[in-house]
Amino acid sequence: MIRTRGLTKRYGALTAVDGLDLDVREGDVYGFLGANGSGKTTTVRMLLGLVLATSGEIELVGRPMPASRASALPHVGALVEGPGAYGHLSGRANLATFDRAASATSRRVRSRRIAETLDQVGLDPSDRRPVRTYSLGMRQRLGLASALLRRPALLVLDEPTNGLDPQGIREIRELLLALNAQGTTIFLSSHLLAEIEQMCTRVGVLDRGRMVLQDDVASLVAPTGRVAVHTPTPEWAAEVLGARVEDVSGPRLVVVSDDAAGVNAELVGAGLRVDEIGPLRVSLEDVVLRASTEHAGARA
Amino acid sequence: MIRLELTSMLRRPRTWVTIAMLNALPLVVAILLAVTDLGPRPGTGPPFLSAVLTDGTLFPLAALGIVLPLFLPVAVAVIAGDAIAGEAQAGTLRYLLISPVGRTRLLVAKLASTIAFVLLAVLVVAVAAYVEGRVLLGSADPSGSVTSVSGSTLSQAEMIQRTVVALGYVTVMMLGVAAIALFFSTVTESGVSAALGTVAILIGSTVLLGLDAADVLQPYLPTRYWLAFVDLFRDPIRWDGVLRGLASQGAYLVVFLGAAWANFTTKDINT
Amino acid sequence: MNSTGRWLLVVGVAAALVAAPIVVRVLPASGSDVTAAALGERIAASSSVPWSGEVRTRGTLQVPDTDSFGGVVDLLGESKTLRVWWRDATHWRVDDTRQTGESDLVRDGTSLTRWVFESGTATITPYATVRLPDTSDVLPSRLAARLLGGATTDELSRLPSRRVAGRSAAGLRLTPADPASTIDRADVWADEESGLPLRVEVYGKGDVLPVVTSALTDVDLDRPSADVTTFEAPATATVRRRDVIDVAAGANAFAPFELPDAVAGLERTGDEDELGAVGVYGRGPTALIVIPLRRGLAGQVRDQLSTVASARGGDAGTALEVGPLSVLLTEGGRRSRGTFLLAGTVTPETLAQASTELAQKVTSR
Repeated sequence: MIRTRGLTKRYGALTAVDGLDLDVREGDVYGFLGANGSGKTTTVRMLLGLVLATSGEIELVGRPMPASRASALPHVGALVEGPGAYGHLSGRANLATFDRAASATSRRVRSRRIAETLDQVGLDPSDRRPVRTYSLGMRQRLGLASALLRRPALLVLDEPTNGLDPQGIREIRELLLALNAQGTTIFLSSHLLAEIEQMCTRVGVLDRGRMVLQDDVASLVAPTGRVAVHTPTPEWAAEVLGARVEDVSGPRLVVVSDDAAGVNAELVGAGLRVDEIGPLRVSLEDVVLRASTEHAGARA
Repeated sequence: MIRLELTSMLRRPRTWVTIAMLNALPLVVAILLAVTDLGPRPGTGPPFLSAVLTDGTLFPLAALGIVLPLFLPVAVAVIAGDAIAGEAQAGTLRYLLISPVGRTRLLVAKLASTIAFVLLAVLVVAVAAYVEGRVLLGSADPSGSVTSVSGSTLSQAEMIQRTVVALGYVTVMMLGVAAIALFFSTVTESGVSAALGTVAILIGSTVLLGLDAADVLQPYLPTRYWLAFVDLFRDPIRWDGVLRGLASQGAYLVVFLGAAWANFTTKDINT
Repeated sequence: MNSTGRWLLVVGVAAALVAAPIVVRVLPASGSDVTAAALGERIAASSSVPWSGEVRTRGTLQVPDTDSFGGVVDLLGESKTLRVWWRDATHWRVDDTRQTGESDLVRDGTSLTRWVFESGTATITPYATVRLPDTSDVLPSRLAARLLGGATTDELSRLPSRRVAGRSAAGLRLTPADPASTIDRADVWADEESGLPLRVEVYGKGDVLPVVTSALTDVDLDRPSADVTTFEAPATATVRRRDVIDVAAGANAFAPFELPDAVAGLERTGDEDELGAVGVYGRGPTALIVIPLRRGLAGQVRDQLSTVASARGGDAGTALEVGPLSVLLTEGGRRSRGTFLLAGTVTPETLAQASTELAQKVTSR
């Protein structure tokens, strides 16, 4: 759905995005992760044809950008750096305006779709108040509604949960996952690792304009062939398990094994008490941090 | 997109407030003239203003002469200056562009809605002034015929034709202002700056017009031929100034719309 | 097309648009090898050429404003755009157009109508040649005819041709030989085909820029139709009939003086039947006018002159020079000769001499 090759953007001497090769496949929930200022927003703007790349190629829903923007963008819904709306118009009128600007939908169909979409994002379709009276969260929902309005095949969302309360974040997350289940590809750009970890099937990590990691989340956080054990008597446990123990720190042991239940049975059989036991997984945070450090090291 | 821009221009309260303000000054002038019966000396003041004392039906032209030098261009500069910059400031520009609206089309639609605004404003001013002139200042000749600037008699039909042409001419004179403001609007992200930049150019032009030393520059100044609509009411009509006015506005339109296009279509939208 | 390409395109279009009018203006004029004397004769012969067009005049003389002479003050000190229809010497129309209206002069045989739009008044008077200068006198054709009248061959020289109002015009320079003149030179460009003067520039002594410029910006040599040069007052206009055009014509007709035939070595000119109490002396660039003033008007003019810093009082009266123009207001009352206003493009000494001679030779009628 999105593919870039050597995508580069320079502002004078500053290179904001450097040789980026993005690959977002159909059906992905792709997490685009990076610190503030790492070039995420510039990339998103380049994907949508707002910012013109210095060099490199972009393919969006199978069409070259920005050359085919007129045929590509109708299949894309986007939220870029917060919502934008005409303050003097109601939420409905805002959606109608953006839709009318570029599509020739009939009035009746448009009106029905607007009502549906507003309902989907948790806004009241009969609300006639102008948008300038909206709270930050409501504006964010309206921005999402605008992105969803045309049932796009690809959603490009830049920090979609900004300004939402935890309840709102949960609602939006569920909505996006439901859309993905129906076949919508989602490109989610965020600086919040937890958000990405909870939703994404693939992740790309941007650090100072360079892609340092791009892979399926499942393979990044695959089981490590270790079992972690918490016990009040770690010395005893180490004695029981012998050479298989890789590391002991406080009450926690790391054991080389694919079989947590087996290890548990062994310990309990020896009369030990076990607080907690399970296969050891790396967190996405560890992976990202490691990739970034390695990258920084390689650069230095 | 053009239709959308037109309807949203008409639905904006700002449009109507601006038009109401444009009408305020001619109304005040009409009342003052009716009360004091005191016209400006020949050669001073706005065109037609001394003549309306004898014939109130000329007041639409006098009203155009009143709003044309400053009020109308400022209103146009504000509206056109806000066209792109205002969208950028509100954060709606990026959503329009990815909806997707072509950048050139957006520029053209903005220009079209500005022109529609000018036409609307000019019409409202003319109609309101006609009513004010008839009610407050009275008409000289019951047959509706009017004295031309050159002292000949114009029939009502001739007068209406020439007035229509004059309204069109005044609208065209604002094209240059609209194009300049539109260009500035693509340069800055503040509509106010774009409007002020445009007004600064117009004031500069007016200052240079009053300066004999700037004789060489005068045919190129945007405000040079604005008041040439008066020439339509001479007998025979003096087409020279009118045609030059149209040509000069056409040139301003081409150059500044071109500059707006060159800038806007290759610009990174970072708002 | 990238950004640079687009900008180059825009700049190119802008440059072409700016250059287009300049190119038209500097199109080379075809050279002409006619001699100065022959050109002078062709210009003199062009008085019967009918034409219409637009004239732009520019005067740079800041003459103190007086109510009775306001028109002359404007003529010498301001820029004007005139629309002209010239059928022949006695049927013409000159519109002084302003952004706020216009003032028209329409000569239809023996009568002259003056129309002022702003006040809605039409004033009809008999035409008179003895009067104050008006807009019809600053047309290039009339100005050239006046300046070149009586010029000798050695005063004339050729100037290179130039393009005026889109036509090739042959240049002629008049350098007055008379030491009494304050005019340094007058440059005339006349249409090569018809001899009609298209542009006139008048320079005072030591001037870099002309004190008076009058040039056609647009010209048509077809004879304008008669209905353009007739004036029919509209129903709403105020129509006034007057016996005289202005204060000078009035004084000429009614002031009780008989003027001498020559002052300061300058001969009196004018039609025999119009010779009255106003005298025009000299010819071409060396000319002066003598106007007797009523007591009230004389006092008014004296007051106006006294407010001007450069005005001097003297034996002869109050004198003032504005560029090449000298003005003298005589002290009236002494030998009940009345007060005279003398003005002309002659040296102050010539004017003083003229006033002395006037005091001796004026008789009552």
